[in-house]
Amino acid sequence: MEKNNNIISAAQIGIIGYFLGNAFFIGMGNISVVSLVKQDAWLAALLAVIIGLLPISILIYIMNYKPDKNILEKNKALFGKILGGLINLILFVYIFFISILIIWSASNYAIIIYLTDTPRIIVILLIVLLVIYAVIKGIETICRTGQILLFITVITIITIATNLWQYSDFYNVKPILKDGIMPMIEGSMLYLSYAFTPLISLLIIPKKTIKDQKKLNKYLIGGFLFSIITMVLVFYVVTSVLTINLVDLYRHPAYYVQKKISITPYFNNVENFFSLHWFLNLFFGVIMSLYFLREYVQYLFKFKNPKHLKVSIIILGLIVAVISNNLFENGTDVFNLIRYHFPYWVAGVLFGILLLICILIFIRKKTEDT
Amino acid sequence: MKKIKLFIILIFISLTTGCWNYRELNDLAIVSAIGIDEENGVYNVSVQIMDPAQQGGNTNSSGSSSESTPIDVYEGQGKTILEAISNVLLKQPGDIFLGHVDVVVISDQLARKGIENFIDFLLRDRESRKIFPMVITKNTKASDIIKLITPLELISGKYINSTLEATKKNNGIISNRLFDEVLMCLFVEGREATISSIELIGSPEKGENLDNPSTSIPSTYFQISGSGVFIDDKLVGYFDLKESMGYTYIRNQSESTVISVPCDNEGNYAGIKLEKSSSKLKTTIKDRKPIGEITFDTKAVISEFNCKMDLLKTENIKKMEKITNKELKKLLDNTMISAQKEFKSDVLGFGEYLYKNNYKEWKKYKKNWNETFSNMEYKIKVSTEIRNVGSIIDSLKNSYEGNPNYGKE
Repeated sequence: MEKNNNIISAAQIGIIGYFLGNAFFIGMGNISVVSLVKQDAWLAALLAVIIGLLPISILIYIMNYKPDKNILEKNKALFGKILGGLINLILFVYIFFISILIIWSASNYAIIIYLTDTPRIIVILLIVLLVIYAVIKGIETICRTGQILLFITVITIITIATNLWQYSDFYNVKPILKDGIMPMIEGSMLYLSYAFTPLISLLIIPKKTIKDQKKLNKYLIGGFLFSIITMVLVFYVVTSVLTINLVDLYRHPAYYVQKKISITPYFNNVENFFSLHWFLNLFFGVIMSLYFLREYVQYLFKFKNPKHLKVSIIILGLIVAVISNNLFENGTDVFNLIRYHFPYWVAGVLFGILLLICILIFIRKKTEDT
Repeated sequence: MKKIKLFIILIFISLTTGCWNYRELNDLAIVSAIGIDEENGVYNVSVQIMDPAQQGGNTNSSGSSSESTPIDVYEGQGKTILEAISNVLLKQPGDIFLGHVDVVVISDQLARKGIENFIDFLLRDRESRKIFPMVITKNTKASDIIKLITPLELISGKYINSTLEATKKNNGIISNRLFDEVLMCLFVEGREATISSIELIGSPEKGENLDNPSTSIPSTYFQISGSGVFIDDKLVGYFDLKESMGYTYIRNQSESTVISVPCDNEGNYAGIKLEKSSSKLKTTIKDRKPIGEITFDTKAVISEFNCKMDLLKTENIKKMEKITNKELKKLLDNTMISAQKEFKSDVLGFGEYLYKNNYKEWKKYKKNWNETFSNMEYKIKVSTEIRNVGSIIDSLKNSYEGNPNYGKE
């Protein structure tokens, strides 16, 4: 188990924020946004760079309040034992559900792209076992892993973008805003509902555990905005190369567009290698969700023996794996859930809770000042 | 505890090797070409399977080359493409692998009924790479093309692929539509699709024999014949080679092409190589009527010149530019007339331009766009700039005339 004293840096949190920001866009959020705003998906994401400042500011505001406490302890302090407990339980249920969705998305991606004949439960277990190991090791290991993998991700994205630029044609993303500006704004909100929701799990990290706390705001905003800018680039390149009609057809258009990549005549058929970086976003999405669940269990049961916590993490991970394997019958169910219910009943409710916490903190601070 | 950790690591290693999907190469039937025909509502799918042993130049005990073909062709029938391919398994043991398909050949008859119904399989299939070319066979069955033994490259799938690519690159007659590009054309608003067409010359039966390419002129061979023109997903006719060339010019898909232009009144011609061409297509609305405009600019080289003309004089170069402009305009005009009057199909994308750049106006015309297109007025502007006259500076005929010994014994 890690020691909770200044072990992680603000930059590392920003990096995790980057990975989390894209965790819902592999075969889930991307389909939803594209189906709504079509070729303007990149513009909707671009607008999210501005609108996204609001939810990330709320997140930072909550993180800055009582920096020695995590969100669960803050809720207890703000709402009292019963109401705080209820809100914590709601958060637990939602994060649990998010982890199920992301694991399903990761397994689906792996099955469609790499392991076509492998049973889903095996793929899920492979992911979950690795996630359990990372969560047991603690936040320091998770953050360091993110730091190392960011370099791979950035190099991969730059290589993909520069290679595909030759096929990119601005003509393919036209007509721009053919149905006016309102669908784009709606698309932007939809985009943020997928981009921001996984970041809520970061609230489980008390700000005090970050060694350069003053830089946290800067890095967190930077990480989140960088994740959105990456998606702007992805939406633009994919649409301008494949045209919106094909982007709308494919579940993973960013994978299929990579089939066009050819680095010298000797380095072709590299789409599987280049598509691995998407997996990292999913991986960190699951890790941080399970880390949140771990902290909730620790908060609830206050284990003194580390072995008990380890066992509880393993049990939680396996429960998530089994539910993820059995909850959804097919991809269509997941698409309908993500497109029509998730933005309101998951992202909307979670954002509402954050807003409520934020208002209460504001009032509390005002009364403390007076 | 260490033993448990070691045990877990070993389990991890065994699970992460991807052995679940492992297939022995010998167990795979690697498909290099697919041919799709249709009869009475049933698809007949021919799959050309590579035989690696034969391809590697297998020799028999006496040291001479073995007499079997490097490809095996199997046919399967079914109501869907998947069913037809599954039925191929009744005839051979290999697991059909579509990851290396070089070409998909569709029969003319099937293309006329519509291609939307069967391309779903190729799009949905996880293994197929979706960047193989598609061609239509004119006046012959797709299976005959698949069974053909070709010279230079005995696997006809690869041979067709290479020929299409080389024609696109050096000749500019076809645009060599890849599968994903065909899909883009099928779905895009305001533009209809084209697919390159090939035809079989000679007897299909002789083409199947291994000795077909053994003579200097193969008895049966295929050749590119132009491009198939579509309305929605149905083939409506063909551009011939010249019209197809005009199409690639207008669509800005020609890389390097050659045209012959008359350079005197005595029936002599010059060979002009168009090296860098660019085309701009525009649709404007004037008096509530769409008007098309094609601007074609090219930089050319005189690569062959059989007339008596002094190419060291600037006015003669200008004259050649004018003649080339006229010929090119005629070429583009023929393509336009064919698309407008013969097929009534906007394969050139005037509607697409309107859709992308003037969406409000497009909404007025989108319902009957092909009809509007067929009566649309258009202008063609061509500008040729001759940059080079090759490695000799004057016309050979002109130089002979200047020679005092010319005409003497």
